[in-house]
Amino acid sequence: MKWLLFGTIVGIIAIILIAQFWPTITPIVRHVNPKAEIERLPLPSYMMTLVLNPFNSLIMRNYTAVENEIKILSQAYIPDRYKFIIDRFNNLLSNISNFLAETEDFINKAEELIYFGSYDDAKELLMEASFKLTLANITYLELKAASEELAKSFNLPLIEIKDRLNKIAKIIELLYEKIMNLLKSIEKQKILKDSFIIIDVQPRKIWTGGNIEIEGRLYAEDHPLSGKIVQIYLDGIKFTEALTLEEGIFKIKLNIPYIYKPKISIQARYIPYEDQPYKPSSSNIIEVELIYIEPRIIIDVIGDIIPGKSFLIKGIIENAGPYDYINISWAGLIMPIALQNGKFSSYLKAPLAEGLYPLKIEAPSHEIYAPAQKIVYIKVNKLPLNVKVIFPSLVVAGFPSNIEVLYEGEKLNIKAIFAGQVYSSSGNLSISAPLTALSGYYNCEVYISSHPWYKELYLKESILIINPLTLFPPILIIAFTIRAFKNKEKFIETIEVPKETIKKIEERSFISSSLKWLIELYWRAVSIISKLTGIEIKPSMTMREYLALIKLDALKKFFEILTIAAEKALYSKKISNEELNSARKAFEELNKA
Amino acid sequence: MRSSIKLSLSRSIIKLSLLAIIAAMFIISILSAVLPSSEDFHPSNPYWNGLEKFFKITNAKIFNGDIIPEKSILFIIGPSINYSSIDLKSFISNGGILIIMDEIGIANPLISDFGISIDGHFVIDAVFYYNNWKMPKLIERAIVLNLPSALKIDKGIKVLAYSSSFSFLDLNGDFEPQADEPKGPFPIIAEAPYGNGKIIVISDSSIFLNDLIDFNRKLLEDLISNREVFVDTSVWPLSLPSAYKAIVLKIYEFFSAPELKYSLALLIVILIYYYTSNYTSKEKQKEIDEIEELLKKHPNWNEKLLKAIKEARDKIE
Repeated sequence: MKWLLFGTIVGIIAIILIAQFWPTITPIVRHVNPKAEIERLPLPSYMMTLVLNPFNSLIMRNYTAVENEIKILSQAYIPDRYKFIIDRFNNLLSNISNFLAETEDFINKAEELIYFGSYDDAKELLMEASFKLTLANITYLELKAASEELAKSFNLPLIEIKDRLNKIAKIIELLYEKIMNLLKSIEKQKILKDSFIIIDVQPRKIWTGGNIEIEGRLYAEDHPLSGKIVQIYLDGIKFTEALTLEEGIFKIKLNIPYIYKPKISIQARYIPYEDQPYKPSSSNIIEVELIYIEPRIIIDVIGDIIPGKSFLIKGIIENAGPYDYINISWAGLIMPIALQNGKFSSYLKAPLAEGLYPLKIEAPSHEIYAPAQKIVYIKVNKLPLNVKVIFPSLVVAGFPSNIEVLYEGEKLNIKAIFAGQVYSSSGNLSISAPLTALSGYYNCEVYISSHPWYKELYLKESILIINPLTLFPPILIIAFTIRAFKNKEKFIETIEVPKETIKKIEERSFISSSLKWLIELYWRAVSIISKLTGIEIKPSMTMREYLALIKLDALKKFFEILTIAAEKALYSKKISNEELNSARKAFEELNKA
Repeated sequence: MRSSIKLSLSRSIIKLSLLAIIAAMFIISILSAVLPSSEDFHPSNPYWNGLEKFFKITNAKIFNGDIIPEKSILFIIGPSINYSSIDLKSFISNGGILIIMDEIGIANPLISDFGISIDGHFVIDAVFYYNNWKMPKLIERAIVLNLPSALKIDKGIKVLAYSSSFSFLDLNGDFEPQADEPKGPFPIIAEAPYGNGKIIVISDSSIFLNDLIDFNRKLLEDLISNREVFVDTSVWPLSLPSAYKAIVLKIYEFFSAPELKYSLALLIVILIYYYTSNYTSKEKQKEIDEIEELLKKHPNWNEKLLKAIKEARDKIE
């Protein structure tokens, strides 16, 4: 039976567990197990596009784009076993792009130097360019091998990659040719005559927007160069041209634009045409000091800046120009503000979110008045809510309790969640626990908000719920138990028999003294029988039961007579003299045995 | 005689079976409460398809209607059945943030009012993905998806993340790109403001599963900021084991209340006392039976005396 019980339990548990862990049949497929999915290589046609993109950018000599394309390529899914292939390819492609970019940069600078006649410096740069191009060429050879490996690993068509590689080789060739041509042109220009140019500027200090006069002379080693065009550069930017007259002298009056910087540089340059047998030349640089008025903005933000509320800004512009407005940029808006006697003031609205916001004030430029700008960062802070919340420490289910909200002035929006119920109020909150709630600690969440310029307040407190309704049954059980125990004790008390009565019963239960000898005889007979048979009388046995156990036929007869007599003496009291005699004889017979 | 033996045997089998069922139910109840679930999105499922990590990271609560919108963010993940009973629009307009994550389009009736809908076909990416094309990667935000769909959005809706230009909409469900299948980029995450709050729709319900949450943790942190996280679990159909587990846990929770807990303890003490005292009285009954048996054999014997002898014998014993 025990095994049956065990088997049944195990069987039921097994069935339920199998049901528990049996895969749930879900008709909707929403996802796949990431670890169970077979790894897949990127689609070759798409991968090809991704690989060709940096090549194409390189061929178009958009070196910045090459870097971006490589970055995108490196984000494609590459299995770990192929990572080194793609990394090598990307590195080589990036290197070749950098080398070609540097080569082109050197060539461009060299060209500029040649233009201005710095042949030695240009030559040096061209040598650098040549070195970088050599590195690019070596990298190209490595890239060729890496591309083949890449194509093989990702099943990409090699023809298109080879086509791009050939185009890169062509670029290297072209750049090499360009370097050689530039070097040749340097050698060719070395045989040209040197030219010289000197200038003087008057006055050296003027108000911005004022006039200056530039006078200069252009000449070769042994003769002046007249009828030549000289370019005038203002702060490195070509500003105007002048024609050399007799003796190579040129003179020009310049109206300086309104520039608001302390100094500007003036230089003249001579760039000969190809048919002219002179080298280009640059003049000395003359610095001209500019005078202008710099306005100064002073701004004052009045009061606290709180979300959603307007605030006042006041300011003054010292040395302001004859303009009547300034521009203010605030919270993404640019607005003109009127200027009165160099003073301004305006109300601005603070954004609803807290944070640090820039306020930019711009005064425009006007002739000798330079523009002015000032940026101040304004901190928008919400005000703390001056609210005190007093939670009840205990709530009796079914009876309302108050959450006291002490505050001054402001209109509040109070929300609370307690024991599965949502409360809202604008002042004190009356909360209550439903009668279905069991006793215990419950969280009470309170969220207090007010105007947008006040910080929200979020509080959480544990409140004890005592539910008399749910407490009643256990109290009832306890009461019944106590009562039951008390009743039992009473019952025990009532059935307690006085000792005297027990004594009486005991006395009554024993045989009269005249028959005691018979009982003694019986017990002696029992002792004899037990010795002969080895069967001992147990306290639980009746005289008859013991007699029934005795199998000695010869003696059983005597023991039976003695037993019956003893029984009668004990329980019946009605015993004849004959029976007593028979009992005595029976014992004698037993004693002989 | 035979029939009485049969009857007693069948009675004992019924008793045993009942005992076995009660014992098995008890063990199963404990096991079901202790053993983790393996169901999709289940908060206690520690396997790849569960949300155990999500719940731990976000300290999320199961949504039961008690919510303060201004402080909360409500996730509806992979809805299969009806939405929660609360008015989601009023939740959002009162400052709540609602995140809808669905790739099937079941959520469309809810989100279409906000100018967003879910296409329902899977977006597959054959270049930017994790391990398999079915798990596209949003490279701009380093988000790993798992069988996502695409969003259809009205003008003015802010798209937070797109799939790559190599992604395609798998119209025929073969997970292979076809010439006639639309090519990416597709909007995957979009946001629409509403009242004081906003709704964010993600066309993939799986990005916060245990096996993917580590990839997408940054997104999760950005989404929830400092808000209290709630998950509407009522949108998932309950399987029998889960329903059973929920009942067991509810019963356990119910009995955790102080009055019930202590009442139960008291009841157990009383029952133990009752049964032990009953056993003693049975023993006494047995003794009485012994005297009765004797009186049957010897009707002329004195019962009181027999009892007295019995008492005397008990004293000796």
